[in-house]
Amino acid sequence: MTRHDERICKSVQCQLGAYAQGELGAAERAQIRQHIQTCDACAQALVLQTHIEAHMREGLRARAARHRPSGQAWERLQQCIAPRPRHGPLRKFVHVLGTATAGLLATALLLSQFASVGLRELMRPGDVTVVPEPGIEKRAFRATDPVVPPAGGFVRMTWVNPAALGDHGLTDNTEGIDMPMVRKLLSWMPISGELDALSTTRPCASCFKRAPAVKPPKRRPRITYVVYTFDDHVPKGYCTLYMMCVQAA
Amino acid sequence: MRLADAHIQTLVRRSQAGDQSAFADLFHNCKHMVFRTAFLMLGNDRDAEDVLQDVFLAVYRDLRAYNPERAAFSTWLYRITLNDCLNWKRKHHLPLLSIDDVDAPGESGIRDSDDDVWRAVSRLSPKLRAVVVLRYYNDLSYLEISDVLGIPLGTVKSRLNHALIEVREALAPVAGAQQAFTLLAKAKS
Repeated sequence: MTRHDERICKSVQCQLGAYAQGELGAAERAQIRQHIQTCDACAQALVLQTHIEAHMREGLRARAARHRPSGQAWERLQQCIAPRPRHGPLRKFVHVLGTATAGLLATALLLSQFASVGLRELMRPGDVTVVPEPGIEKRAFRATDPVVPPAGGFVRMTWVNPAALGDHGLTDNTEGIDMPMVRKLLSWMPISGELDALSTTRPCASCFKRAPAVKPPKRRPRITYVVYTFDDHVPKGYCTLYMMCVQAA
Repeated sequence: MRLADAHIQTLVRRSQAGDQSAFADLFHNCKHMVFRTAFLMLGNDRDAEDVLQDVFLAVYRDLRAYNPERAAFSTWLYRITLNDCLNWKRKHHLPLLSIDDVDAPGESGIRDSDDDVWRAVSRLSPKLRAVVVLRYYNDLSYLEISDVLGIPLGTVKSRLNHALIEVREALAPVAGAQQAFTLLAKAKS
């Protein structure tokens, strides 16, 4: 074996991966083979390369084999692709009437909940030591997390620490959201600062077209209020989030 | 890790004709490949499951427009999966998780033999990681990788080369490299 010019060796070693995997043309392959037969360093690099590749192949396969999709993957997909029934005008009218009634009931329920827990007293911008009362859940979760529906409630209100939430899932997609209801909720809140962003997100990643993420605000919101409801059209275990980021004064 | 193409093509044709049961079969035949590719790209099961759903929604939506003469179904599926994984990170502002953050060894503290490889791969940038996963997990040729990622063949070679250098550096102190030198010593003697 002889010692070669370092530049030649470097160029050969750049192609060792392709050489080992049979991805080179006949002429290049012959050149590399000839060089390796006469160069100790490159022959050594080839052995190492081959070994690392085999190690990597085995490692990735072993790692991947330990993970599999959940049993509900197909059911989740089916819920998203199932054709929606087409309703006649009368059915549509009944549906709208039903939705309106449900909305009124939900609003009434919300009002009674807010009144019972004294929300105005509990939530003050800048004051993050809110003591959760029965009926108000306190938790931090990512916007894409599945949420277990509460046992008896239809609409609940909770808050998350924005530091835990980060900028995840803040989108400007307001399609299908009951905006008057959100504004009403907002008007009940004791906000002293300016409203920074009124954002919504869909926790089910695929049910809705994902909207582009909103540019993070310059000043981080101090308190994020999140209201979530469980509707018929979202898959089981997921909810609609009504998310309000409030800039503290 | 390759899909049995003839059977898959039959399922694709039937699905394109509106056969729902064929689409279900197609999903069940390909779900592991898509899920595991997404897992290797994103590093956790939850995001991989969301990508799996996204990918098959896209397949369901665009299957009629898919032309088997332009690309193999597997290439098309890999392309959707990889694009979704790369976009997933951008859209959700999530870092590609490192092995240090997830999949830590169990309570026993015993690490599996593939931990070192996984740790090295999880430190690669998304672009390098994509070529590594396609090459070493999905067994695609350089040409197929170039087709899936829509990059020139030379770029595939250079990315794989860079990835191997990074992995080699990460693995250098561990047993794999030591074994290689032992093998070499044996071969020489």
